[in-house]
Amino acid sequence: MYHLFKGLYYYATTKEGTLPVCPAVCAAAKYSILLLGLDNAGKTTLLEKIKSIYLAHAPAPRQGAQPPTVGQNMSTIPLPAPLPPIYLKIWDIGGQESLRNLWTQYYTSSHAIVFVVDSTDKARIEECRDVLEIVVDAEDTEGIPILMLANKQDREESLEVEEIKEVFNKIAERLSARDSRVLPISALTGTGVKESVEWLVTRVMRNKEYRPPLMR
Amino acid sequence: MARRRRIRPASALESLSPLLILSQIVALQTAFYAVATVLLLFTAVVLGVRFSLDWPFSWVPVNGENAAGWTVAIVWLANSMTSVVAITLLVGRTKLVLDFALTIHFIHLLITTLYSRSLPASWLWWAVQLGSAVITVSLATWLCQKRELRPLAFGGRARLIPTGGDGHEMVPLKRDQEP
Ligand SMILES: Nc1nc2c(ncn2[C@@H]2O[C@H](COP(=O)(O)OP(=O)(O)O)[C@@H](O)[C@H]2O)c(=O)[nH]1
Ligand SMILES: [Mg+2]
Repeated sequence: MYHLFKGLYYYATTKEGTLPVCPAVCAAAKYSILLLGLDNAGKTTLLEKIKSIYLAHAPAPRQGAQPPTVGQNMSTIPLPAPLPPIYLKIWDIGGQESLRNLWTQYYTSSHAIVFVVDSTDKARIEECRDVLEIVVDAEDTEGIPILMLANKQDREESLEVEEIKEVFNKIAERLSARDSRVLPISALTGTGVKESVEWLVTRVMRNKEYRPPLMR
Repeated sequence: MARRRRIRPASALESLSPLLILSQIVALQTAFYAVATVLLLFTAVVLGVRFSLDWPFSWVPVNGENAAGWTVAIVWLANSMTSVVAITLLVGRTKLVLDFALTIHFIHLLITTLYSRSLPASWLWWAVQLGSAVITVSLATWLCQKRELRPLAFGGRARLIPTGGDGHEMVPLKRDQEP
């Protein structure tokens, strides 16, 4: 009953949204997606994979081809039909410990966070959880969707998604209501990458009242 | 009166849809009374006593003074399994189990008080409610957790279909809302 009253209160006090109807305006909508995770999780490989799927002529990433990211990579991906005509600005920021305090500067302007986990790296799963916890607890990430990707599922020794979920659920439980999801992917082979992008698209668009896209 | 209105995350609004929560409460309460009535009816037949609506709705039959009272108490405890199953199937979210489980018992308290025209004065009735609430909360929490950690098929499309059981996803993804 507590949640019933909370829901009623929310409905009574939430501003009615005015959806932009004009397709010309919508066509230019840009949503920023932040790729986070420990170093070596596969963020750069994932960005390269997304580029190779959605951009013509972009080469597919190869095993071991990505040097550790220094600074940031950013790609603007126009979505092809039948996906909505929007742009995803995907930010890949270095995951080394020294770079992690840079992340916070990106939170306010991002519309979703993708947290990439190396499922084969059992030794660092605790560190991974601690870092995710910091991201989730940050004030500026409140109310934006978080997608957790259990990457490198093509490798034999990868953790089961359940094991990753077990780690993640402990954090998710503390959140009130939040878009979050765990998906198994392989950034190298591309399995699950399209599903991940589609999930993000649905979620950022649904949340556009709360965090409106950049229009240009 | 102008009330201050706020913009809230879509996820917060969707997961707190009052209509959905209300219909879940109604469904849970219906299941609670329906199965209890069947169980009590069966008990009445076995005991060879006449069944009346007092059995499910009044607190008076649940008294610690005679064997029939204890039997009814045990039936009510067994009926907590109804709530366990119903919450797991209809709600499925670990975080909401406590709220829904307590709501069932609270509504039962209201109904039985109205029906009997007095607050339950039998200690056994209160003990049964406590026991039933503890069973419901603990078992349903455990089951929902298991369900939330269910394995996912790798790479398949199946997991994009809303299941309500995927605990990590606070709001089921509805594909039909994509343009
Ligand atoms: N087998 C496998 N290797 C991967 C996958 N994704 C990334 N890698 C490898 O993991 C290493 C680190 O990837 P990188 O994208 O640089 O990680 P980043 O530090 O998060 O940007 C590279 O050698 C990648 O080839 C994957 O899905 N499967
Ligand atoms: Mg990198």
